[in-house]
Amino acid sequence: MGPPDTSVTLLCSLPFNPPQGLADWDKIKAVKEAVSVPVFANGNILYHSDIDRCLKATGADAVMSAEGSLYNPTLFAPSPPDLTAYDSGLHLPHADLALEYLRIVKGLKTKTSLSAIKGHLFKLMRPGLARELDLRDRLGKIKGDDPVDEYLEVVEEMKRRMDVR
Amino acid sequence: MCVEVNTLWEPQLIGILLQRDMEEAGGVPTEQLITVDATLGIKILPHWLAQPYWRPVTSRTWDFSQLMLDLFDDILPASQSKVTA
Repeated sequence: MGPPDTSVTLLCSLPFNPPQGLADWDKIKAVKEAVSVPVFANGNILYHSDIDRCLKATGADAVMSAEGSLYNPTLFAPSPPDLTAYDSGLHLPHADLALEYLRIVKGLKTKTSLSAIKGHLFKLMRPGLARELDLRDRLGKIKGDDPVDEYLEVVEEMKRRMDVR
Repeated sequence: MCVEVNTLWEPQLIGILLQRDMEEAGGVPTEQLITVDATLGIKILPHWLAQPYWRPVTSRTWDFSQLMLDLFDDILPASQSKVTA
């Protein structure tokens, strides 16, 4: 038997864009029980430990994450066995993730739009930006045709502040 | 203490970071740095770590101005932002 040629991915959140609150896994379970094609559950994968919980609660064949992985790109990476203090998944310092993201952007042959970079950095560093309001303002005001170096300055400053917290 | 991060996936490095978290919290075990969101009961990690964000439910009905605020909160200047420390 080959792979199925049809599947369905479900996000069961309140009817807002962007979604608010938490998705309803019971709705996904109901759909899974009603169809014969593979079902991907989408929603409420906030922590790595939610992957297993979601699969068990919904009976879905797989899970996906859209927005969650923008806030923690290592969402699907398990933490090393002895280092599960925060969760079963990895939670690295956001400023280091942001620096790695900018290094990738700088290495690309195609240009990344200003709004895409800004959006990614705001999400990645959100916990720090909620406290470091001057950096939040600096990040929001960056403009120009080639702003990556300016972003780097802000992220490096964020890293300095997080490292001496 | 400043830790130079070159390889984000290195278990040894993650161990160093967790140890640093504990030391800088005055010996408080890392687990005790976690707080819990009062509304949804979801854990909140220390502010220097990448972690999930969820939008609280503001209304069961469509509220256009609220939706616009939610959509563009990320790029608002701090003085107009709803986000607080």
